[in-house]
Amino acid sequence: MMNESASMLSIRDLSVKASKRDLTLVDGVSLEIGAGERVALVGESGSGKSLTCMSIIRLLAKGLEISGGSISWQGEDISHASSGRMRQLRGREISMIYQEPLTSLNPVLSIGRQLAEAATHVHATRADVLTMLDRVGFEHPERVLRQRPHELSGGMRQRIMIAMALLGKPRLLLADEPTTALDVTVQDQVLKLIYDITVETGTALLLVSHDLGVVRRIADKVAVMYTGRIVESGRTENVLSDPRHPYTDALLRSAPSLESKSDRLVAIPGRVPTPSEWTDGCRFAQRCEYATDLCLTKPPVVEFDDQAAECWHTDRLVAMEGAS
Amino acid sequence: MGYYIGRRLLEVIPTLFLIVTIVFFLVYVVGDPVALMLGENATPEQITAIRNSLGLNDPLIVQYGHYVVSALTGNFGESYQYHEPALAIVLERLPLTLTLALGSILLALVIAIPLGVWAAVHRGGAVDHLVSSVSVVAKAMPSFWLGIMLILLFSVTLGWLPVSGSGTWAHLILPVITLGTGTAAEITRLVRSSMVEILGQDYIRTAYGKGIRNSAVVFRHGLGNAFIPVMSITVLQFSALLSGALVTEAVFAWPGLGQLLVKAVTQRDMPIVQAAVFVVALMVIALSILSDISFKLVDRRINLD
Amino acid sequence: MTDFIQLPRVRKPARAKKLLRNIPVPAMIGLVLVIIPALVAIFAPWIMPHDPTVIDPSKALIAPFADAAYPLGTDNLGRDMLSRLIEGSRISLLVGVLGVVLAGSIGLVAGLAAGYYGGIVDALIMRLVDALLAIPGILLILVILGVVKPGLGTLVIVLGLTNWVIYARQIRAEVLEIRERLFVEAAKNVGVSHTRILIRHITPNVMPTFIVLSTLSVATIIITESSLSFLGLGVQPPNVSWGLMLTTGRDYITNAWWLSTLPGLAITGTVLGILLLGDWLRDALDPRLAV
Repeated sequence: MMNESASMLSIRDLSVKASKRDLTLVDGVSLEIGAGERVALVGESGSGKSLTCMSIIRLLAKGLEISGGSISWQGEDISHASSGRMRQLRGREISMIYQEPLTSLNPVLSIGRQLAEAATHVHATRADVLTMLDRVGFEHPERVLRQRPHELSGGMRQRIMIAMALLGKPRLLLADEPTTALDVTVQDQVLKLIYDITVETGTALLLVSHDLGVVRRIADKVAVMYTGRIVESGRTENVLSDPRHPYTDALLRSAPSLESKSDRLVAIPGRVPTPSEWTDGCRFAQRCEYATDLCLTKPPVVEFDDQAAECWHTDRLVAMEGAS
Repeated sequence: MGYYIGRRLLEVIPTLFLIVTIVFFLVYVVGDPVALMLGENATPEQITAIRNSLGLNDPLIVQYGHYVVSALTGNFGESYQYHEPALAIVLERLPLTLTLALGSILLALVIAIPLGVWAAVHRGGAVDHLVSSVSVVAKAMPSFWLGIMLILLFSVTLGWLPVSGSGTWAHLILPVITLGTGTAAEITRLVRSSMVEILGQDYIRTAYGKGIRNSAVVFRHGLGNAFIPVMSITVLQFSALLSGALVTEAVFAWPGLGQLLVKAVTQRDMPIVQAAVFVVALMVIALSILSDISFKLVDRRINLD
Repeated sequence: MTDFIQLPRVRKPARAKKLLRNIPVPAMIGLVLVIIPALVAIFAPWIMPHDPTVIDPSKALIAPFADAAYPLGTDNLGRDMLSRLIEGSRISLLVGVLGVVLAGSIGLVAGLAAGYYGGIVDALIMRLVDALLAIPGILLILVILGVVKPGLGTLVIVLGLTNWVIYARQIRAEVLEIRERLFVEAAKNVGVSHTRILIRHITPNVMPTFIVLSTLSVATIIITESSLSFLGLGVQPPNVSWGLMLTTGRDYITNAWWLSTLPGLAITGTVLGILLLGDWLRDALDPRLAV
């Protein structure tokens, strides 16, 4: 869907299945991330965005596996690479930070120990670690080393995770809802940190989120996921102000924090279908006001300027634009 | 910390008293100590004489009082068989049984930890199923029968190891295997289930995501967090081990406390039986207090560093 | 007085149907392993080829499969092994079942009382439980056997009196949990008597745990009985018990392997069956899995 030139990470038609129950959870996702680009993957829970992100460095839980498609990193196919190769990539070229900083850090080991582990793997020195801790906002890095995760606040823990992830100067940072579990006041600070530091180091960013406000602030490009598929993607300004897919449009209208087109808070009727209910046709059709019989088959990808949507009726939205 | 120790010790006192009372009840109220001492052919005069000298015609409360005091001072009387202080005899035989118990726990841990970790890491695999199956069968097998079968195989058929007795390393092998198998099965199960739970935690995913070696993830992050539940059950197993030792010693003619006790029960040598019960109960209680304290210590290090 | 409040009960009928439809392999094995001794025990008088207690020195130590009249051989006193194994199954199962009935009854009452009434009742019972648990299993039994005469009846009583603690602890925990749930509060508020609540509402919900515990206890008791009989303190001759047979087996280990192998196999097989069934029951009756 996206511009394929100069991409470092190229996901083509990725599918992820829960092998035991034979359920497809990510259904043919394609995504490109270029050097230094900040891309957001947006969707509700169950859309498959986290799984897509985890697949990149193969952190899928037991019982989940990549069932189709490919992931290329700088030209190399890493979806079928050996686990040894994946370990080389992790921490050094591609790093990840997670949603729950408390449970994502080992409660029994000190921060210093956990950072040291990462440092050894990426050949960083103690000085590097302290510098990084300072950069992410700790006034007394030495003291932090001796503490344990539960002694720190949520925001501080997330900073540690960021420090740990960026120690090896990776070229791509994967961030799975990094601010969702934090206090609203702290969210801003951490987001700013992520933005600043990735810009500084030229690190590309894949941000997974359900919050359109966050996306607007940080991402150059955005891909909207629904029921395992990307339904719309493109430059952030375009997609968020001029959506071409009914789902994106509905999302925007139901999010009070953004400049919405109408003043009313509109909830999307119906509910998100579970993976076992997914059809081959458009999965948003049951809840969509523009749905027709055409929607029983898989919609084509319609391209616009720096934007694309997978829908039979993108013209309806464009038409609406014209009308209002 | 001092408060904690003090409190634990205080909690133990009622339990100890209860044990003393239970034993007293059994020996003096249910059983007839005199008949036990003299056997069945005693004359009425002998009975009365002994009863008076033992103070058995005093009110029950007085007897109880005497009994409690004696128990607390370690005086259980003289063994009817050996005519020496019962406590001394019990303490003399204790080390052999402890050797057996410790050997078994060590063997169990050495086998169970690696096996449990493997089964957890390769959950659902062939090894995992094999381990579970073997564990269930091990639980179903009476340990003394395992011992007998081992003798049949290694001593009688193959002639590699002695049939019974004690004194050399070779004598220790079969009894330790016999006693340790049941414990190994229990601990393996626990290690496996603890590890499975731990390996599902987020921080394990983070560890993998950092790119460190798999072995580091499993052992430093995984097993490190399993330490407490595993040690906890090991301590609990000690109590079961002492029970098992009784029977195992009979199979291998291992001259420890177990053998002494069984003989004493058969011969109705009550002083030894009582002394043994107290020594064992005290050990079990002491062990559980020690382990509680050590967990508190480990906990404190985590929380107050 | 009829309840005019319909309080939820354990949904047994629906579960039972679902149960029988897909029984996993281990459970099937367990079932077979348990049914064989059970049937053997019940039909013993009809299927026993010889009298298990008759001594015939001329027929001593015949190996299995050597003589058609004694398919599993004979022991040192010429007694038929097959018949003794069959007789042993009766005793072992009898002791197991009676022991569990006794332990279960006491434990159920104690656990219900401790959990429901709380306070002093709870404290007293739990102290007693702790004290009994502080003395390792067989040890306590040995003390008791030191003062009373060993025998079948004694054995059952002793086993019952030492195993009830396991029930009490578990059931008390269950009751505490159930007590928290609203519907019991509702019943109390309406004025339903304590006994009624206990019997009609709490007990049925405790049943699944009780059943699972009972299967485990039967296994434990069978092993304990065999251990005690092995030590000479359990079942006494001329009664027959697998554990008792193992005592002889141990003495003749060098020249008559079947004396020790066969009874042990019988015990292991039976207990294994019970454990497998118990595991299956535990999963099947787990209320968290109820639809």
